[in-house]
Amino acid sequence: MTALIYLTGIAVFALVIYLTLELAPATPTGRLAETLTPADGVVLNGWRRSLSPLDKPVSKWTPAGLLRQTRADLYWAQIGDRWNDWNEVQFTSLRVALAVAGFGLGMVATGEPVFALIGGLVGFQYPAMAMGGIARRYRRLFISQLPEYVQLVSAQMSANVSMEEALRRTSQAQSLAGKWMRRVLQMAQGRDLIEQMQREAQEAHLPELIGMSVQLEFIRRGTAQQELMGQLATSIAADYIGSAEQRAEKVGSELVIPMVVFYFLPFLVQDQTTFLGRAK
Amino acid sequence: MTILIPVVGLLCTTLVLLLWYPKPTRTGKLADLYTVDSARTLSSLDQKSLDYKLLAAGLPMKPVTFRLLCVAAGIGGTVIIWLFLPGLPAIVVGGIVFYVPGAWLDDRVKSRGRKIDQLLPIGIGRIAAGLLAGGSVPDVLQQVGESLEIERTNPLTPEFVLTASEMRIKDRVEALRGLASRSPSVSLSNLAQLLEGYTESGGRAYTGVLMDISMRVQQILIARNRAQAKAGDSLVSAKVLPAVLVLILVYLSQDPMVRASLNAIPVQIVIGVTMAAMVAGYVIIRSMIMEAV
Repeated sequence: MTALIYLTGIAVFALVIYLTLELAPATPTGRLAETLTPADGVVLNGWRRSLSPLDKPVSKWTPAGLLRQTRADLYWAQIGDRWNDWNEVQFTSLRVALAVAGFGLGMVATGEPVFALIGGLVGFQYPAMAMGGIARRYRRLFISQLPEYVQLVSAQMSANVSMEEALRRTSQAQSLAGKWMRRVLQMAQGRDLIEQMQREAQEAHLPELIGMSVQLEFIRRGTAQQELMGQLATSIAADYIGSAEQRAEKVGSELVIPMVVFYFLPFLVQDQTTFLGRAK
Repeated sequence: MTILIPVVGLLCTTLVLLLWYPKPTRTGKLADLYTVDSARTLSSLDQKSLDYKLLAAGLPMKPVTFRLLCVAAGIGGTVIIWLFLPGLPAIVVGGIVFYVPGAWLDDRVKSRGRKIDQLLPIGIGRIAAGLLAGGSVPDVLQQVGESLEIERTNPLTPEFVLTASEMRIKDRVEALRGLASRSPSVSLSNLAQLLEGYTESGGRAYTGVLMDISMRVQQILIARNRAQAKAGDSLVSAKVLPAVLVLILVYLSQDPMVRASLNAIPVQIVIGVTMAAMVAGYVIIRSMIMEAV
């Protein structure tokens, strides 16, 4: 127990030294600071500004896989207008900061390293769970609306409209897929639309979207575009129909953890507290 | 404290009488148009406003009345639970009872979209057949809407009938865009866009394409509805479990010593947190089921 206090002290000391000596000189200060901000740099404020000293070590030491996953989740959360302007490094910095805060709070409140570790773990996991939940919701909504959206594009192309124009027209759809296409069109100003779509699909980290954008590229190069688009629409619809049943079957098993966390654990804690009260 | 019981009883009776007192039923030809009027009024309201939600849910009351009822329900819930379990749990129950009508209303609004989705495969099939047989879009929409109404009252009929009447009196594309923008269902909005393409392309040559695409959309919707119904089975356990756990708590509290411990502040805090956690859990589980497919 005593050793842990020393270890925590040493770790905090090392962190302060690192942040002060390594990062502080890199930050422009004074009157000229505003002019030194890069042209494409976003002026940070609020939480992100306070957490910015952590960004450099986080980007250096965080595993690439975790950052990639966070980036994909943030992409979908931002499609749903949440966590706007955050990037994966800033978000991971927030998780680290909350983990340290949770650990510190646990130590102060209970004095037990086990509870402190649990506090740290909760602090680290909570933002990811909150943001991941939003991302999952929008990802699923998108997947469920994509097949119908592709039918609309196919219908437009069947009326002798070019692919780009069909995508442009269908982007007015109320669905999330339409919203995504509006975003792609906005980002594709002055660039190739299908290439931009592929870039966005990679950012989104969604196999269905990557597959569709690659096939759209093939269709654009091909001659019988209308037939090919019809085939793509049929295959996307068939894939969705097949997978919808599987997802419905999975729901039951996915509910086990929320039921334990929200129903049984609180009930057990409440039961124990009541009986402890009875014993006293 | 005991005097509160008749007061609450009196209030509840008055409320029930006010809400359930038989109103004169509108009959005749004009009665059919009232639903279309509702659809028209809905299109002019902000979808996030309480006015919209109340109208979409079919609740004939003003927003102020609804808010007051929520407050009254919250206070009533607190008072009733206070009689059995005074303290924090009663306040938490009051908060939950205050929150429930709003959540129920949101769900009723969403269920309008879900009901449309359930009927849409039939509607699309009939529209495609009607257009293939040579009918014009407004006539087909009107007939399909009326045919759906014969089976049972539904939220899709007023949308079709209103669009048909708008297509006759103003620009057709505008009318279909209006349907797309006010639609509570994304699939209905997509159908409006599909019909817009049909209208713009001149119709006839496009009928075959429309048939193919309608069939695929129909299959997608049928598969989604089936999967949603299957996922919905899990909701039963999400509803039953908390009820069983509450019953166990009620049974355990028969013990005089347990009953005495329920008045201790730490126990009350834990009970309050448990109740809040269960309600939050139910909301999360429900949204997981609804958004699964």
